[in-house]
Amino acid sequence: MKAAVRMREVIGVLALLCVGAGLYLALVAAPSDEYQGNVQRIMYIHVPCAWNAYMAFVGVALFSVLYLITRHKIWDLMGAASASIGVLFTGITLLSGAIWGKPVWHVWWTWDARLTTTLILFLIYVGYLMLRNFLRDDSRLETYCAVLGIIGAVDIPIVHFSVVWWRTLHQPATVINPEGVKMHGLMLFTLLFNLFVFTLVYVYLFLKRFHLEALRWKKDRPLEDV
Amino acid sequence: MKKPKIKVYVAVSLIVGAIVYLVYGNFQDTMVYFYTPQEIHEKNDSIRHQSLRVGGLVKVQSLRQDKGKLNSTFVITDGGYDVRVAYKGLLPDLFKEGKGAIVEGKLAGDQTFYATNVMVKHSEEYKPVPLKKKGGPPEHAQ
Repeated sequence: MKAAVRMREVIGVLALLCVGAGLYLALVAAPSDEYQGNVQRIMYIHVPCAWNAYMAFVGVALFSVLYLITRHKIWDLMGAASASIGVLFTGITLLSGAIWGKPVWHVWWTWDARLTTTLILFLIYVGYLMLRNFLRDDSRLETYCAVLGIIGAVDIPIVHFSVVWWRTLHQPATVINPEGVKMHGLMLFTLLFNLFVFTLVYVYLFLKRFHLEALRWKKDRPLEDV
Repeated sequence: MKKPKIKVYVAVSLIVGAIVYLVYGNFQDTMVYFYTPQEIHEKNDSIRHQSLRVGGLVKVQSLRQDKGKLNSTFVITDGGYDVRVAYKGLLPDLFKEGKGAIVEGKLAGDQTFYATNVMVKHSEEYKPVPLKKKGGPPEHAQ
């Protein structure tokens, strides 16, 4: 157990150092965009946050499936940990998007398909966390939450492909673009590096949160074993 | 055990209500977030005086502004069809002829689209400021 904790803290320190490097790349080293100027640098936060949100909610769905198959509490706790991190990053995605949208689009918010489906994604998992809270002492908590965790994930591809399926104000994907990557050199490297950094941050926060969820669960059941 | 049950029902109905509202309240509009100039021409009478959005490119050399830059007219084009737009207010910083824009407003009887809001739709492509220009910020943004 001690080795696992040490491993987690090593990842945490590594993530922190990488965040520093990522910020340096994003704010100093990367060139400013020809069209948007320095505002475009918000992308280096916005896109990795959205990536983390996807990853976190795919995680919730995966852990939910594993729970339904094995009925082992550990998967439920992992789902809970991943969901709260996903909600956090979806929130930052929506906020950083608004901050980026105002100077570039001229609006903080608009009801286009990308923004609307992202807000729905946020609400689904806020609902998931609320459901966990309400069912705290209920034996059906794990099953109900696992089902919601799986159904909610349906929105992930809808969010991702919304810019392809519908007309939107939001532009299509830059990196995963059928016509090839629409960004090059140091700009692309900065984005990819920050995607990696945020992934590390997700892993660290997930492990930390999972530990917390496990402690919280054990606290109410001093005589049982996980 | 009755209390948490009611709470669950309230929570679930709140969430479902919020989603249904988003889907049916806004998504119907969102499905056609904006019309193209061609669709505006085809639907002309049926959509007149309705609140809607038109999207396309700002036609090159179509922008006219008064001295204070508070009244503008320009043309939104899809290459084949044009829509003339009148807008009262400051245009966005990144608004440019030849670039994408989406306008919100109503089509009037005089075939002019009176916009209440102008938004810039930018591409997914990002490029560094060319070396020559280095030292100063790009034309529009800082």
